[in-house]
Amino acid sequence: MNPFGYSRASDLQQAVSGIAANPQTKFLGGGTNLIDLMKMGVETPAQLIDITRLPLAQVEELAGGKGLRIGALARNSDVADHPLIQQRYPVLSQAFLAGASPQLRNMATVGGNLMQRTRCYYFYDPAFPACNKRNPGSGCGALEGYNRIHAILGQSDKCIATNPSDMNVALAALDAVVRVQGPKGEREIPIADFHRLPGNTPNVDTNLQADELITAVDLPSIPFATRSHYLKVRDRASYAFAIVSVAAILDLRADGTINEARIALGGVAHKPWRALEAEKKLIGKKADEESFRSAAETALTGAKGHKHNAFKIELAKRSIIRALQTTRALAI
Amino acid sequence: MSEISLTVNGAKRTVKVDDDTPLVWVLRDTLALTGTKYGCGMGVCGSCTILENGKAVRSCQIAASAAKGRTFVTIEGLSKDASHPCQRAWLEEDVAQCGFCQPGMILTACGLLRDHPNPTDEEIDAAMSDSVCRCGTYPRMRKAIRRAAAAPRTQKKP
Amino acid sequence: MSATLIGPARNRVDGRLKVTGAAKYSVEFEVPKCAHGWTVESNIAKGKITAIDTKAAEAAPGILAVLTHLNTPKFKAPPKKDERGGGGIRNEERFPLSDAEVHYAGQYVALVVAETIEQARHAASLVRVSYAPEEPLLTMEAAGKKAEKPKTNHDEHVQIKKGDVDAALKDASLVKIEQTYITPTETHNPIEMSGTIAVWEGDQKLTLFDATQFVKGVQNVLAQAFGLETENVRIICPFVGGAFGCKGAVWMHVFLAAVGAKVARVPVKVHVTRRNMFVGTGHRTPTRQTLSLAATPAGKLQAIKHVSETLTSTVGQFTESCGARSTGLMYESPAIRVEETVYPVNVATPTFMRAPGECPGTYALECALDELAYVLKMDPVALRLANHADNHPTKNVPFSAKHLKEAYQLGAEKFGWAKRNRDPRSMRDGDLLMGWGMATATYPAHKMSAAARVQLRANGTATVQCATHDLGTGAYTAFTQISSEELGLPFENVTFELGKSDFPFGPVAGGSNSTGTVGTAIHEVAGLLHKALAELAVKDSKSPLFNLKTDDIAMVSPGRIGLKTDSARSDAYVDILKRAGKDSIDVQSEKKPPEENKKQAFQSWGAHFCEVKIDPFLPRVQVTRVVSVMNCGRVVSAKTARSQIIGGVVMGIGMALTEETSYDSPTGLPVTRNLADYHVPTNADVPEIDVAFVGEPDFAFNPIGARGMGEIGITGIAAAIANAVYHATGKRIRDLPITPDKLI
Repeated sequence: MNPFGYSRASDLQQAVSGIAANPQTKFLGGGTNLIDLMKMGVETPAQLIDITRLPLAQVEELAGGKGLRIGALARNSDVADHPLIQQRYPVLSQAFLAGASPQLRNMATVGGNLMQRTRCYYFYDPAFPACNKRNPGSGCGALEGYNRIHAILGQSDKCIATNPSDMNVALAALDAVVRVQGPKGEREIPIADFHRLPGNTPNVDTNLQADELITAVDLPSIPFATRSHYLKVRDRASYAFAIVSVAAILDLRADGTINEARIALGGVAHKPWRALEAEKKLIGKKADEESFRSAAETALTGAKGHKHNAFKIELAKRSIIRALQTTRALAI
Repeated sequence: MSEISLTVNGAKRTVKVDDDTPLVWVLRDTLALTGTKYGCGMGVCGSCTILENGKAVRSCQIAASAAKGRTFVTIEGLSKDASHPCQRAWLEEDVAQCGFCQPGMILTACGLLRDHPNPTDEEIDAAMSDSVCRCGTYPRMRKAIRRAAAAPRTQKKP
Repeated sequence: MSATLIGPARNRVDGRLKVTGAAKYSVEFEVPKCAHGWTVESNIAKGKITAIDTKAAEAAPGILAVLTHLNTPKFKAPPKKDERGGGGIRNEERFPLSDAEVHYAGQYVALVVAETIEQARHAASLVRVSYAPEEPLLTMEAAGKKAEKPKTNHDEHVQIKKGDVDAALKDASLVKIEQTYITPTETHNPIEMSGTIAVWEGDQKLTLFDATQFVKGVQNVLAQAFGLETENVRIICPFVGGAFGCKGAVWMHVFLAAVGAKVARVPVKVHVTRRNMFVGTGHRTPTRQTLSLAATPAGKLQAIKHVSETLTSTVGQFTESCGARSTGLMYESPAIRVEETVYPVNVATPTFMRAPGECPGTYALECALDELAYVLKMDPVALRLANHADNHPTKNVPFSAKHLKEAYQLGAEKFGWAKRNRDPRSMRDGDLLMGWGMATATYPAHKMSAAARVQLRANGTATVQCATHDLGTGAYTAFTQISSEELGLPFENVTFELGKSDFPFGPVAGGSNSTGTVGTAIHEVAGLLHKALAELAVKDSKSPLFNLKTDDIAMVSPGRIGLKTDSARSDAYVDILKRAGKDSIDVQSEKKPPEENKKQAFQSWGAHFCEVKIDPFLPRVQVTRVVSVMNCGRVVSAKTARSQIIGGVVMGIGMALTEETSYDSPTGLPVTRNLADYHVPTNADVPEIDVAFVGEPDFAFNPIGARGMGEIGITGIAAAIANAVYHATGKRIRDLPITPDKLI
């Protein structure tokens, strides 16, 4: 690894002023992704500020029944097992449990998971000369290379990487809000605006500023989110990144028609992909095969495959249908 | 280089290492606790698993500087004579083949049994999918965990 | 040696060391002042290094040496392949850092030696290499003009012609199929990565702690490379954390550790990274195999043609003999043709990986037979029985102790095969499609040379030594068991030692040869021990054997030698030694060429039956049940043998469903180059695996009766799974692995 300085922040202010003072600084949470990237020579921070001692690990009720707040340093495993998360937002608990492995979940934090970087081979291994995300202007190795795990939606000719997180997909479906602290104070970023599409600047993953620290994620109260499900399709039975994943939430009326639906896709784009048009299409429809199929078609409109990943288009459609079927069938 | 103090297997140890050295190398190269294995360096294979407060964690994912002041148990700290219920069950089922992933597997099982003293097959599958074995010891490993779960708890688990 | 099929079910003798973390693997030996080496690799597949800037690396803290092709001392050219004496295997024939040429992506172009591993890793990142790249050959198509058809592979003929294949394939009265099957590059990935600690004493003595399947081979190769006396090179390797073939040859990092230590004048450890395990220690070559079968409507094979194409590198020759090692011997047919073509490409050199040749070969042939069975509307087991070969189909000698028919029968019974509905998509478990498939497994019985040493002590304990290896196979346990039986001592009284080049010769632990080969050496040394004891006894007036001829004396019961014709007249080992005033007695056998029996063919056999379940809408294959029945001669150590078969099946599940090393086409670099992207089976991928053994000890093969166990489990299993997938879905996937995208 590139040699780096290490310090431990004892309060939020210290952490934020520390990063403002030196742009080559990174926050260290669970370290499950950052330490890896440092070993590979992809990330070369001059300074690490260990924030794991900051009091940001709580899961607590928001006043006035407005939802739940998850501290940025809450461990993935603790959130997954939290009774309030399991009761009110099963899709999020399931997404955590589908992600990584138990030990990594014991270490990984919610804030770190939001910042997780792509698993694109060309980004992860500096032996590959071309990667606009790692080295802006160098090209995209995946575009003409081996791209089985890459994006089919929202990609640009500069980058076809995907966001690898399971949690982010569930957060997208739940309209979570990311709370961040910067030198000028606190601000809120809706999850939809938190991650970016690659465009011409794939090196910038998120709209978090370099001097900002994620402090919490707020989950709005969504009473019907109890009827929700996370589906992950992967190459082996466990412990693999998603080829495609779906977070689905359904609000069903007494007559079986759909009052509201939420669909977010993982493994298909540079950010968790919310299928808003497909959701709209479902409102008022019967929660049946035909509606689900039509929503799936809509969700994948404009999808574009590459040499090795064109299968993801059909796979994503099927995954949406299956996720909605499973969600509909839940006994609430 | 920094001096870093941490507690390993009940003893306080102070080591002089590069800040960025992963804990796995501190354990293996500096403290000669080679029961903790190095199999990928990326948190994927699980062979570097150790316990922190009874929870299984990966020592390749913890930089030495971040290990400061923390307390860990390695396979050597479980028992030296294979008397820990998990080690005993492992021997009785003759789980090991090459043995390289086994310390990590055993400590992962300890972490599982601490949270789920009587794990279901699904819980075993989920927890043990954390670690990779190339010899294919999985079927015996599952038996050993069921056996360890059924064993009388005469010994306090770390 | 016992005539029972299955030996005692003992737990492995090294189990305790392995569950307490006390087993010491090679790079775990504590060597004072050991420095660390870190490599720099090329990121082009072909070309020349035009400049290499090491200034920044040399100026970094803790740096002891930076080696490149410009300053690395020259290695001594090895003798020609057949003049290498003591053996040793090199797949990559070039020495590291020997010139400016780049032959494959990932080739080591520099070694940085530093006091700490982090210093070495950081300084390695500061080395700047400039290249003049050339157009690499990366595929069979690109390398087409350079293709070779090797006549032989390790002395065995690989281009086989028997009868008139073409005529049968044109015969309109016969039923025919022709299909092409693809297997990708697979990588061994033992969890212990390769690594070497090199320690020089002066400039003539070298000790290596090396993760290897062949300590004597490393010793010989290193002695030649550095111009040292063989006995001045010592190799130590008491435990190997899995190997599967990738630790059989001497790879570049071994030379680098030794030369790094020589230049830096300190011990040096080079621990290969997981990333480099995908390049620098071999892999299974990708294969393309075309099978053409012709059979009578009753299912009698009239022709099998097996054309296989594989890759090797431009700096080493390796042939994966898919056809010769499957079609060449598995089924009776009047016409057999095997063609093997090897294409040299700018990819790192492949090597043997568990059942090299047999594994991909049986995948293709056993899938083709399943396809033929469907065309013939025949049960796949019945088709195999109809073409069962009592005699070796191309050597025309009988197979020794072949019990394959029993394996089919027992396997089918245990599995419940009779309940199978033959039609694809006909069986379900709830919403899931269910498929049942089967295939034959096979692996030859290999025999090599070995010697052993025994020390028997007056307290009735003994130590047996051989420079063999335990890769996790259970060798310690099996050889303790064989020693106990052959010496006639209680199991607990015998210690078996291995993994040191100081011990008598042991061959490479590969090709499932060790149990039989080293077992035979133990058998011989036990005979020598009994003879040495007899020589003491016949001179001892107090012995019941006094004045008898030693040739008339042998072991008559455990712990006693006596008159062959009257076992009541006997003497105890310990009494003989005590009366002779000896604390111990040492005997060593000689390494000699193995006895060849050309009148029979020796081959192990087996049958796999497996069940898969697949969601038809989101198709990922889950293997839910496997029954494997094996016929491998004597099963010396029941538990460790069973584990070996399970291990082969598990690796076969990976081969069938998830494992693939993919390459980037412009650079030639592997992309799935870590255990997150290269998917080996995890716990949740592996069902219960029911293993049984049939047959009898094969004493015609060796005095132990054992034909070996390490490879056969992986042969055939990928075909059994692919056949089950077809049965479940009606889709025939002819390129592995069968990932969800191929079934959608």
